Amino acid sequence: MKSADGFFDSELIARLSRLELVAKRIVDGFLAGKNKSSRHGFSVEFVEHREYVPGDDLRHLDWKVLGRMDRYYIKRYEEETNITALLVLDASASMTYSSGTLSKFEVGATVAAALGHLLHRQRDAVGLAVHDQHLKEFVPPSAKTLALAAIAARLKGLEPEGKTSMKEVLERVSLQLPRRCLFVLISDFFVSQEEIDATLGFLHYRGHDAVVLQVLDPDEREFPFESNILFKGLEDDRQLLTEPHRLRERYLAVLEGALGHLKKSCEGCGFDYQLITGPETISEALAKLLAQRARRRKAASRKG
Amino acid sequence: MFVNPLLLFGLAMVSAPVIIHILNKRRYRVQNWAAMDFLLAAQVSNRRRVKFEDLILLLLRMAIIGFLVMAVARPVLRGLAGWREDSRIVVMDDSFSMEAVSATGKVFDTARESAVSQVQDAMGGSVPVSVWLGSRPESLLGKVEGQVQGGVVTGGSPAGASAGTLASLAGRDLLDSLWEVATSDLPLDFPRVLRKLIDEAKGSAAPVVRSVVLVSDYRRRDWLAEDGSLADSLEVLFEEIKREDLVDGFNFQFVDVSSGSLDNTAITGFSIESDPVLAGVPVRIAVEVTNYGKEPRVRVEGNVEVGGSDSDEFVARHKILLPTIESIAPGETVRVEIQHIFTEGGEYPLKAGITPDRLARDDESVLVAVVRDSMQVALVDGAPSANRFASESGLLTAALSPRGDVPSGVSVRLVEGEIDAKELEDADSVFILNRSKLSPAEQAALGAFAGSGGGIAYFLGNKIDVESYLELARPPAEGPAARPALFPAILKEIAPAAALHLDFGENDHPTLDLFRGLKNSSFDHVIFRRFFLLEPLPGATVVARYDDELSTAAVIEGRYSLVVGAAPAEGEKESAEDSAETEGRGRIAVFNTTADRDWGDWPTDYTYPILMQEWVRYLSRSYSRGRVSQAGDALRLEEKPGVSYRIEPPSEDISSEANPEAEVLIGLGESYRPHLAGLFRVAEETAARDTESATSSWYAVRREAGESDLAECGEESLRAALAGTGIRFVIGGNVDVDAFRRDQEGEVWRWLALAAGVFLLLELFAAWWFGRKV
Repeated sequence: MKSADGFFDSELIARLSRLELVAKRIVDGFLAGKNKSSRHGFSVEFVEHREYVPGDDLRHLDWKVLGRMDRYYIKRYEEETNITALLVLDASASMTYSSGTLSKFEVGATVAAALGHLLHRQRDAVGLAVHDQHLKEFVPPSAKTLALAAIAARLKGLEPEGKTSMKEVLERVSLQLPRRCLFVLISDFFVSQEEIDATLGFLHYRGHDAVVLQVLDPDEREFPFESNILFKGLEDDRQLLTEPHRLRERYLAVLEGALGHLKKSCEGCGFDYQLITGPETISEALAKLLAQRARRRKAASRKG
Repeated sequence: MFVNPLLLFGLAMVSAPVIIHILNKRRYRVQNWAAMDFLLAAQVSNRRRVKFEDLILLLLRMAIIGFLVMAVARPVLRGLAGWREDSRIVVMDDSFSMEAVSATGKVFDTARESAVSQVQDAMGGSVPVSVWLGSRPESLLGKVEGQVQGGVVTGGSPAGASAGTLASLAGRDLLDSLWEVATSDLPLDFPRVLRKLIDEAKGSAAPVVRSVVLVSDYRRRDWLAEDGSLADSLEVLFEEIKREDLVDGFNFQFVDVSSGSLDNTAITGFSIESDPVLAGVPVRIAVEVTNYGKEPRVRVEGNVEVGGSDSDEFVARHKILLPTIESIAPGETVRVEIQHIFTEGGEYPLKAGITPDRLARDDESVLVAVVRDSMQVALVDGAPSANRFASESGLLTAALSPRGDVPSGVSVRLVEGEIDAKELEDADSVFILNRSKLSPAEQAALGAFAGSGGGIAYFLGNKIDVESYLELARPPAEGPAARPALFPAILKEIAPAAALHLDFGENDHPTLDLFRGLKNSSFDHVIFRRFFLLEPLPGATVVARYDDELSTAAVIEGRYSLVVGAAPAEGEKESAEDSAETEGRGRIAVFNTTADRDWGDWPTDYTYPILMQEWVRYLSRSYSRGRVSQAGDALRLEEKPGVSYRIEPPSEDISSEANPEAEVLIGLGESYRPHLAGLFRVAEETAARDTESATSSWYAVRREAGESDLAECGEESLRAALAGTGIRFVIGGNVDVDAFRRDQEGEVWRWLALAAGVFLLLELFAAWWFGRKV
């Protein structure tokens, strides 16, 4: 059931509320919460050892290491804190494609809103950036409820148009974000592989965490077309008259290659990736995503 | 060359796939699309493959259409697969059976149309063509050679005309002849056709391929033996074709224009039972009717018409109704008889007729009755005497003609002195009684007499010169004196024996008809005291024996054969000439006793005159039989120096109206073989005798009875019978030339259609393989 403003699927939210969105990287936060930050303090979880220097609090002395190695080491802890998340939603013309009831943009907006709500409940700061080749809308991350409302308001009434450009937009947006953030990239990623690599590399270089949610329409995924069709590009004047069934196999191969590249790029940067093909797969994809992040968090904790 | 050349315009449809392909490109729907990069990337790598697939499919579709169009246009691939036609011989079956009328009309008319189309087709293809008649292969109906120009050539002299014009004229003449020709009364003689073809093929300087088109009704009797195999006469010739390596020189086309087996009833026998026929003596005239159909023929009525003997044309003087035949079962022959008395001697033409059916000409038959006032017997007395009963001939004369001047049916004339041709001129038989010897001249006269059908009877006695009679039995085989034996036995003297009786065995000789059935032998009381030992020559038969230890021959019958002293081997058939002699008689009898009472008391027995009269009848020449012949056989005309015969064809026959025979004059050494049945008038002409005073005779010509059997051969039976011959042939119904051309082409159009089918399958497979919608 959707909420009154249209973007909050209660069923979806109910599912997500059981999981926690945990940032993989250290994000500076100012509120104590369930997320970790790079600051060290109490009630934080151990992360590493350092040599004792006079003046350190002896309560954090690792007595086991002293017993084994006869050397003095102090435990370092990560302090759980609020994350700052920015929902980055692609609003280029390519996101207008729809084969069913919802266009990719609407699906993406739904995902953005869901995640925004979840983050808000966790008292994380969440903001929104909507872009095509330029930044169209920006809501700075905030933990306030008003921010959530602002996000919802900005999402409404948006008409996707124009071409897609991510890196430039993210560069500009990151300047307005003082801390390392969790970027949730929601797009069809119909850009060149070079741009994808550059965008993800930028985020990784800056120490940001990212979640890549690729939204595709079922038609784009299956390519079920028959008979003669003149395909017209949504973002440019390119067009192609062809018999789709003769291209299908080749198209799907090219698509799989592109999807594989994006996924590999994400993995290389340590980012999470999920593919959403249509509104019916939103829940499942996000659940997988959150489970995936939870597993990663636990794995990181065990290393310490 | 194409059978349907106009359909080649359909080749324009070969472009249809290309046009459809282009038009399809114009029919599309528009789809906005986001992933253009992926699509274009896929297209780039796919473009060449798609073009190749498009090309393959277009070519396949164009080929399908091309093959289909070619198939329906039906190309004629002359020269390929060994088929070739250097000339065409159309053999039109003009035999009698083709006159039958089926549900679709007269079979011959159908055959004619088929033959005309064959000729026109050949002329259209500039193939030399000739038309033969199947019953008369020696008759060439016409021939066209070389290039034939289109159009009709009218008038003009051929002199200086081009080859094409001449060919056109010849073609027109041939077609005119085809439209005018009528059937004969002869059977189909395909063996003679084959013989002629083989001889022509052997005589060709260069190998040529002849198409032989036989348009016929393919009756079973013409083609198959009793067991269904090919008739021997045909098998032998086909084997010769194979043996002489002529198979490739012939393409046989058997065009069956019949409508299947047809019912038919015909007069198959028409005869006078009495022979010779005597004026004032009742004779039985028999008519046999055969039902060749599969259904009973009911209520057959008919009559016999007797013409006048004094007219050159047939004028019916008497009309005798035949007994109505209530029913004739299929395959049955029914015989009915009437009785008639010819009041005076002369030649009487007769016609028999029954209710006509689908083949009217065989519902009539003809006959000639040569009626004698009496049988003329010449008696040669070897021991004449003024005392009638002391001579050799007295008792015999009394037996044959008791009252002399009162007609008894036998007229006896005593030959005095030498036997010569003049003495024998009017005789039907000559009895030589105890003549010691015969001079060479007498032998020559007797030989001519017997050769013309006269009968000779010998009575022996004590004056017989054994050596002389041995010469009669064994004449020289060569030289001027060579002739058949005039005495059918070897004579030897033996010692007198005790009284003996005659034993006629089963009494089955024709002269014993009157004695048949009697309880006791009529001759038991007749005693014979002396006789010769007779050893019959080969071919002679013993009619009666004495009941002595040696079973000595008492009565021997021989025949004046053309083969000197020879008789047919056991089982061997007589030659036609031999049969003719038998038919016209030429019989020789030897009575191994005396004509008087010297060696036995037979002449005083009641059986003697009866038997002698029967023997006179038996030995008398047959005048009537010589007047009846079969169509295709030569008329039996006596060859006489200085004599020619003018033959007038039948005047009131159905056949004559359609196909009149011309009057013909034949001379010594020539023969005349009519192809029509009917009553012919033959006038004997000499240089001394003018036309008006020429003597004329009637001759009856009949058709072969088997021609009335219209049972068909059947395509399957014929095909099976011909299968082993090795010849190239096709068999078909009354179809046009195209059907045979199709077969002769090796069914090329079918291969083209098959190719279209194969390509269609290929196209379907390719379309599926390339991932298209089928």
